[in-house]
Amino acid sequence: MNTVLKVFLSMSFSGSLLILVLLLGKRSLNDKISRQWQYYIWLIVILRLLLPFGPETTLLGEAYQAVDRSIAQVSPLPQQRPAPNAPGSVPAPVVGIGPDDEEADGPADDPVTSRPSQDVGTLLIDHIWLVWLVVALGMLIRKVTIYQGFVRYIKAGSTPVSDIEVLDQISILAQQLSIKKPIESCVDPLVSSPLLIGFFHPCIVLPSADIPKKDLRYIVLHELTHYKRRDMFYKWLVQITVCLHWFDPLVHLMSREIARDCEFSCDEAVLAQVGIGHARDYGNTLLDAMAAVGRYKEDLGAVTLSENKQLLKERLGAIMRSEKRSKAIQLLTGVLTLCIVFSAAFVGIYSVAAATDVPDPIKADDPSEMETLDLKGTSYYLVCNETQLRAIGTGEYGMDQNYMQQADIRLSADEWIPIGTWDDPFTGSYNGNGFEITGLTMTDPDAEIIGLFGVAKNAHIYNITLRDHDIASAGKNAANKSVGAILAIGQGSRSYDNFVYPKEAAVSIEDHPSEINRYYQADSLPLFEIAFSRLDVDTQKEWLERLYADGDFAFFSVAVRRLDEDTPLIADLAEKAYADEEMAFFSTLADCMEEAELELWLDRALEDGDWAFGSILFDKLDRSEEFDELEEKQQKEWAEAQTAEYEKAGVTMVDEKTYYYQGQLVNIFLDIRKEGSFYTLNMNPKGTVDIKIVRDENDEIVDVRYMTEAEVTELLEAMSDDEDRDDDDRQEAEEGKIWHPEVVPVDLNAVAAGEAILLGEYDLSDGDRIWFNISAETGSRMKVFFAKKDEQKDVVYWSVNSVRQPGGSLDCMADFTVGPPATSSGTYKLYLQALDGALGNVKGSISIGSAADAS
Amino acid sequence: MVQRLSDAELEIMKIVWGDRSEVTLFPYIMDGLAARGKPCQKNTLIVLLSRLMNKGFLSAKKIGRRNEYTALVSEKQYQTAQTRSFLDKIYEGSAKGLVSDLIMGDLLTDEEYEELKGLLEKGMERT
Repeated sequence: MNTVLKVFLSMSFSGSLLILVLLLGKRSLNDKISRQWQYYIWLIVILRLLLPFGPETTLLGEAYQAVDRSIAQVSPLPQQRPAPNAPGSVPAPVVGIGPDDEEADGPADDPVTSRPSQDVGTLLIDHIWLVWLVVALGMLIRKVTIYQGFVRYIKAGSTPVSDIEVLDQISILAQQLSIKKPIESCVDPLVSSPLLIGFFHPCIVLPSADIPKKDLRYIVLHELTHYKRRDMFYKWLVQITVCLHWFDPLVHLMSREIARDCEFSCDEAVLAQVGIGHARDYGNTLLDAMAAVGRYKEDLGAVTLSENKQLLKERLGAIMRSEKRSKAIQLLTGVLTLCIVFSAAFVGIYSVAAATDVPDPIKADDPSEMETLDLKGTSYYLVCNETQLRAIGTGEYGMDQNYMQQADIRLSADEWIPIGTWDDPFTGSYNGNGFEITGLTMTDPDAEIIGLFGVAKNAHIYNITLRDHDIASAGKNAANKSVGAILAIGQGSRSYDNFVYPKEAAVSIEDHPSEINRYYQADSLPLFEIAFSRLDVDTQKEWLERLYADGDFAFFSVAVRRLDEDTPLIADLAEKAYADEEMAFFSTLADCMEEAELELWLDRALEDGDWAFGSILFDKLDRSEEFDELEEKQQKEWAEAQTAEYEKAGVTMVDEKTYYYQGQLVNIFLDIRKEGSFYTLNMNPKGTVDIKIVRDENDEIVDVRYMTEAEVTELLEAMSDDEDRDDDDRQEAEEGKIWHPEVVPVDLNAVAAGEAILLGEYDLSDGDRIWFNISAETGSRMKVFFAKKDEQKDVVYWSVNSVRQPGGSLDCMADFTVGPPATSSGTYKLYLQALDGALGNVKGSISIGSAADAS
Repeated sequence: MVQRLSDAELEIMKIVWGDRSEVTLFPYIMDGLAARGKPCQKNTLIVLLSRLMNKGFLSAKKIGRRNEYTALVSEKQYQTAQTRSFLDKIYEGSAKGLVSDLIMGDLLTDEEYEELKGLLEKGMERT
């Protein structure tokens, strides 16, 4: 409890400082600052005096701690420890929260009495807070009874005002001030001046019934203003503060100052209401009120119109001088308020928290000092640290006591001495309370009893969590040893609800490879990932190769994530993935690569002309723009080469759609490449000539020929066939065969620029038919093609490369027959590619009719 | 003992007594006072009504925002009580003095006199 007193003393001191500052400040600024402000600013001081809160670091906090320390050194408070081994099965009630606590129930059952009388002095110091409290309470009770007596006295001699006019005036003024409560009024010739009593049922007490109407108005306004501003509550708040800080003369001074300011500010508020012009009239009313002399000293609790002549003089002066305050003053007021609020906050108090941080000389000497807690009639010693835990074993508190752990305890590496021996077994109870004890270490090779508790008899040991203990090496040389992490030897003892987690190293290493296999079989990705990280490098390599071979991309990618950085495994696997064109695997591996390594790969991919890998690498290097540029350049180069090639043959290509041959605009332009894999067909209705590029086996242009009419007709027929034929009659071919094709539906929302989408893998044999019927809603160039499964994608078969005509549609319509000489049977992959910009909403189907199935 | 009423309070009580309905409402009293040429502020009336309640003349029942007032002392009771205190104060309890003053002071009309006579005779027969 002295802590509370300390806090209060510090609050008193801080508050006093503020009071001094305010008093001095007000002397110099008296009339310049609003009276209201002067009145209410005290509230901050009162808050400082009443509320024991403050910021962590305060101006005076350090000073208080310093004082505290010096006091502690001068007069160390006697420690009262509950007598160990208290008689009876139930230990004597033990009280107290902190070491500087006392027995609140007096010295009668206090061991102190048995000590020499020298303790009387310290006892007095210990109980000084009681003196403080008694005086404070006494004062408060006295003030309340005086006020009650006063109210009773007023009420007894009063008669209610029955004059309707007076009552009406009060009602009207109350309405003006927007007071909702009906205001009672009475006349009591015993009061010297008008006053207001009652917190919740306000009553204006007038000294006489016939007060001139004008005076009445001011009087009532004044009293109602008091009521409206809740000055009664303020007054009593001040009174409470005075009672609690009765020892502080400055607080008393403040109380008087507030009473003055209360009237000053009330006058100010009234004048603001009636207008400054009426200042003289109002002053006269005050004087008249003083003329009638009352017979009761009523300076407490009630708010009166006037109190004494000296104050009245000042008030009259203030009233006459009152004037509107300038903006500058208002600003100054605001700044002052902030200053005072902050200084109130930072002047600070004696902080209990800080105090506990102060190394208490007594505590430092004896950290094993255990506090106690009473629970359902049983007293528990609270174990919070290593020293206290070890102290149990020394028998300092008694082997038969109840102990309860109150904090996680980390033990030092010092050899642990088990609690309880054969000679002195532990017979009480220990409740681990769910807290942990970590790092229990026993290494003594000769130890015979090994465990947190050694020998316990009829004891209860429970709720202990023992973690990272190391007792494996203890007792190596002992012939006859007893080991139990929690309890080594328990004679009739119960040990339950305990949890033991030995040191990590002590875990029998589980067979990770078999473990990981189990996870793999169980398809448990997260467990697999963890298990993988525990494997050695060779096993990791085996697993990665296995996953790669299985094509298990998900497991592969989590495994790669768990690989050590800069392991050669990544490079090896990348090499493999690159060779196999496994882009997904390669991409995962690339994620683990350093930038420099990625650059190397990029160079290699560009050299190889491997655009897909290049694209990945550019992307990983965050240089995808560069890739786009490069690709564009490449395409441009290709187009230029193409133009040059045609030029050499005498065909001028103005753009993709306009060709000239020998000065004539070309209508049909046909260029079929090797094996029919790639052809350019352009039709320009304005053209006048039809030409055909003839290529040799090496795809070199050997000739440009005018197309014969038959050739043109055949071409047009083939094209119109393409257009007219729909799904139903496709099954009927010229030969009269009925095809039962496998239909590959195509429905792609978007195909990114340059992206080639694999639609499937098909075994094609001679005589099989392939129909393309695909259209794209947006985009300019679309290519549908097959590629041999084991070959690079750029050797294409049965491909259609179509370009959107202005205003036209973008379709890939074609009909191919598999067979020699151009093509051979085998397994092919079917792709759809966006060549020039992205494609949107690609729909249609590809039908593959097997000749074997046709009938 | 029935307390004395101030003039303003008596005015209000008269209105309450004059109200035939079982309970009297606030606006009715306000209007009544205005009709008698003695209007007052709402808050004033509230104060006066609460005084009447303290004196035990009225009881109030609050129903929502509406106050219903009921007279606890009837007009007759009040008059009797006041007359008694008047008699005690002025005529030291002698009703004879009062009646003789009424007659001597020419304060009664002839009809009133006859009525009074009749009442006296009836009172004789009762005893």
